[in-house]
Amino acid sequence: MASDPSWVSTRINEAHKANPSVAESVLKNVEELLKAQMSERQLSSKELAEIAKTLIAANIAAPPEAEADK
Amino acid sequence: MRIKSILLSWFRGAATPVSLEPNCMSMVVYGVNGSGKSSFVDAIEYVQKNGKIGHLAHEYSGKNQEKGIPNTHRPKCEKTEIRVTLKDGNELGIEIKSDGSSVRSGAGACEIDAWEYHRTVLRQDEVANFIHATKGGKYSALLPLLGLHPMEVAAENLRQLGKSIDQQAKLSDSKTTLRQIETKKKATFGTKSDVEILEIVEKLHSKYCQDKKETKAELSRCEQLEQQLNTRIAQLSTDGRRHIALQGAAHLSLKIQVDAVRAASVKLASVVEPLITEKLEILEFTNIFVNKLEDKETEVTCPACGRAIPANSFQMHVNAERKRLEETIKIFNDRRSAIGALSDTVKSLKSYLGKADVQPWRDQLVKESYSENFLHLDSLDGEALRTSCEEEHLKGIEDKLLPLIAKAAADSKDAPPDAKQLSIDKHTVEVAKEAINANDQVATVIRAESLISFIKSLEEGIRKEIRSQSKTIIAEISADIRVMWDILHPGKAIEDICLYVPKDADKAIDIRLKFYDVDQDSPRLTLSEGYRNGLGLCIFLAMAKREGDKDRPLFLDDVVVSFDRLHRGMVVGLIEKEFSKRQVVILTHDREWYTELRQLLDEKTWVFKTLLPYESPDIGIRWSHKTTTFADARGQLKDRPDSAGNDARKIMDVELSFIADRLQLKLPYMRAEKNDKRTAHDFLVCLIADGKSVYQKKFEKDYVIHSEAIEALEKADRLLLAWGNRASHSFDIVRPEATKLIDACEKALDSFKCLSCDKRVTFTEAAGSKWVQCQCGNMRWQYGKT
Repeated sequence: MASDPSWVSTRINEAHKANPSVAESVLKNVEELLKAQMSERQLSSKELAEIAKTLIAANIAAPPEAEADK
Repeated sequence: MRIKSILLSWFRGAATPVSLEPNCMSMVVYGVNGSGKSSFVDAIEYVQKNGKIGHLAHEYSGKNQEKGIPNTHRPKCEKTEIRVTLKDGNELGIEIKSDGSSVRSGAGACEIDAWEYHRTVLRQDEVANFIHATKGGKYSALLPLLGLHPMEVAAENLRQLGKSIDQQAKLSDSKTTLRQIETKKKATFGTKSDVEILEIVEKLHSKYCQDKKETKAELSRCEQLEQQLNTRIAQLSTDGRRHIALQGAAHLSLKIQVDAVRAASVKLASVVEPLITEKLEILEFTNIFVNKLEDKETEVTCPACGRAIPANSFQMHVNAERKRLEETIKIFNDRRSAIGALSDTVKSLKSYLGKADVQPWRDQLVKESYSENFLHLDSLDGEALRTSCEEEHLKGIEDKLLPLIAKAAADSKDAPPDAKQLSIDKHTVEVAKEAINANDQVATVIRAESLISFIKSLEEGIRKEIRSQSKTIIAEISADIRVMWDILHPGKAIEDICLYVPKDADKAIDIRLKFYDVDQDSPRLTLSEGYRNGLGLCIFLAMAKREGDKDRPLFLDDVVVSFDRLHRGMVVGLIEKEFSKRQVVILTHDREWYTELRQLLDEKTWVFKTLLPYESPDIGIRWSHKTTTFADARGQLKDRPDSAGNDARKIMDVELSFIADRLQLKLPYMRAEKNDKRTAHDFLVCLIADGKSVYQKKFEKDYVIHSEAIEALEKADRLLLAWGNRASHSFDIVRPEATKLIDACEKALDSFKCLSCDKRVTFTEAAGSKWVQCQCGNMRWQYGKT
C-alpha cells in the first residue's frame, strides 16, 4: 500500500476540512506516518506515545489557522 | 505459479518417497478412503501455515503437532520431508525433525509463502465454513482478498493514537482543573467577564503597586500584586496574619471536593463491580487463549461471549471489548482527577493551619475539644490520598476537617478591617491569576481536542474508504458467485445470492439471497446441507478466481461428498468453464465421479491418477500404474472375491456408459430412469455389434477393423454375464474367477486406448465430426451405425 497511498492524502484533506485548526506540520507528519509504518503494522503503545508527543508538540508550535486568521 | 510435483517422505501416510506429479497440469486423484490423498493436501497446508495442519490442532498432537505429522512407523534413519517443485524449477524443501520443528530450504519458499491457504485448499469439512462463520469471521476470511489490510492497520493505529494523545495531553486532568478554576472564578467574580476581571486586577495593581514599574502583562501584574500583598500581610500584626491564614482556610472548597470524589466513586463502582466479576471469569480462559493463538487458523471459543472465532479475528474482538471499556476508563480518570483536587486542598489546609501565626488559635481550639481534629489533620498525608482514597478517608475529612474550616471561617469574620481587605484582595488576585493561567490551559486543551478530533475524522474517513472499496470488491465476488451458482443449480429458485456489508457494522460481511422470491438474511435459514455446500464451493471458487492472474493451484479435497449425482456433474462444468486456465487438483474417493471426470475433462490439460488402497504405514502411499479404478477391486481379492467381482462389474457399468456417450452409441429406446440404469452388458452388446464395422485401427496406410478390441469386449461380456452377476447377487464367485473377471474387464476398457499415444479413441473428433479418434489417429470410431 505504501506504493499506492492515494487514499492517504484524500482522507487527510477531508479530515483537515472538518478540523481546520490542526497545524500543517501535523498533516505532513501524519501523512508520512500513514504512508509508512502506520499502514504496515500495528504499532506498540510506546511507539504511539512517541508519535502522540510529537504531534501535540507540532500542533502547539504552529498557531492554529483559525486563530492566525483572526 | 503452478506445481510440478509434491514429494512426501514419511510425512503423514507416506513412507518411502511418493510423489504427486501433475507436471504443471490439472489433475484428478482417485483413492478410496484412507489411501493417502489428503496427505498431499496436508503437505500444502503445512507449507502455507508454517508447520501447522488445522485438523491436527488438538490436545493429542503435541506442541508442534509432532505426534501427528510424521509417519508413525518411520525408521530412525529416515527423515520426514516435503519437497514442492514449481513450474520454474524452484523448489521448497522442508525437513521436519522429531520434535516437530522444521528446516526450510530452497528458492520456492518465496512464491509458496505468498499463497493464501483459504484460497488454495478447500477440504470436505471446510466447504460450508464460510457460510457458518460469524460476520466478523467472514470479513477476516475476505480481508486479504479485499487488499484493504494496510487501511485496516492504519485505522486501528489511528484509533489507538487518538487515545494516546488524550493520555499524553493529560486531557482528563486538565479538564478537571479547569472545571475547578471555573467554580472558584464564579464564586469570586460571579458572572463577570474576563475583561472585567482584568479591570479589577488593574485597579488592585494601581492600589498596591504604585511604586512598581507599569506592566501590561496580566500575569506579571498578578505576580507583582501577590508579592506586594504578601509584604503587607507580613507587616500586619500577628492577629491580622492569623485572620488572613484562617480566611485562606475558610475559602477552601473541601466539602465540594469530598462530594465530587464520592460521586465519582459511586459511578465507578456501578460499572466496575459487574465488570470485575466478568473479567475474573475471563482470566480463567486467558491461558488457553494465549496457547491457541499460536495457530491463527484455529477457532477458539471467546470466553466473554462464547462464540467460536478464528484466532486471527481475536485481535479485532479484543479491540471491540476495549471499546466497550472506554466509558469505564473515562469514569476512572474522572475519579482520579477529583481525588487529585481533594489532595491539593488538604495540602493547602495543612499549610494554612500550620503557619506559626495560627499556632495560638490552634492551641486555643485544642483546649476546646478540637484536639482530635488537629491530630487527624496532622496525620493526614495529602500526597498519599492520591493513591488511596476510600470512604473512610472521606468520612475522616468530613468529620474532622470540615469543622476546622467552619471554625476558621467563623473566627476570621471579625478580622481587623485592613487584614480583612488584604485577605479579600489576596484571594481575588490568586483566583484572577489562576483564571488568566487557565486561558492558556484552555487553548492547550482545545488544541489537543482538535488534534484528537482530526485523528478521529481521519480514522472514520479511512473506515469509510474501507467500506466503499469492500462494497465494490464484494459486488464483483458476488457476481462471480451468482454465475457459478447458476452453473451448479440452473433454473433453481435461489437467486440474488450476494455478500454484503451489514449497515452500521465495521469489519463484518454476510450473505443474503432470495429463496422463492423471499429475501433471506442467511443461507442457513432455508438451504439444505447439500445446497449450503454448493454455495460454499461457489464462494471458495469465486474468491480463488480473483487470484486468477497469479495462476496459483487450487486443491479440492473430496468437496462433492454431499452433492447428488446431478450436481457433481455440474461441478465439472463449473471448473471447466471458470478455471480452464488454472491448475486444479481434485482429490476424490467417489469412484463414479472420478470416472465421470476422466471422461469429461480434457486429457490434454488434465492428468488422472489413482492411489492403491492403503495397506500399512511402513508401505505407505502408493500409486496405481492404471488410471482406472480396478486396483480397488484387486485390493479385495484376498478376503472378498465376490466384492472384487462386484466392483469390477460396477466399474464397467459406469465406464462403458461414458464411452457409449462419447461414441454416440445408438441404443434401444428406454423410458425415463430405465435409460440411466443400463448395465455393462447392454453397452457391450451394442459396442461389439457396432465395433465390428466402425472401430478401426491403422494397418500400414489403411484402416482395418480392430478385431483384438472386439475380442476383448466379447470376452469381458461373457465373463460379466457368467461371473459378474453371480458376484453381485449370489456372492458365489471364487478368487481365480474374480481375478479373471477383473483382468478381462480391464483389458476391455484398455481396448479403447491407443498403444502408441496412450489416449482413448474418444480423445478428439476427426474428419468432419463423423469420427472420433485417439491423439495420433491410429485408432478411430465412426459415430453411429454406418
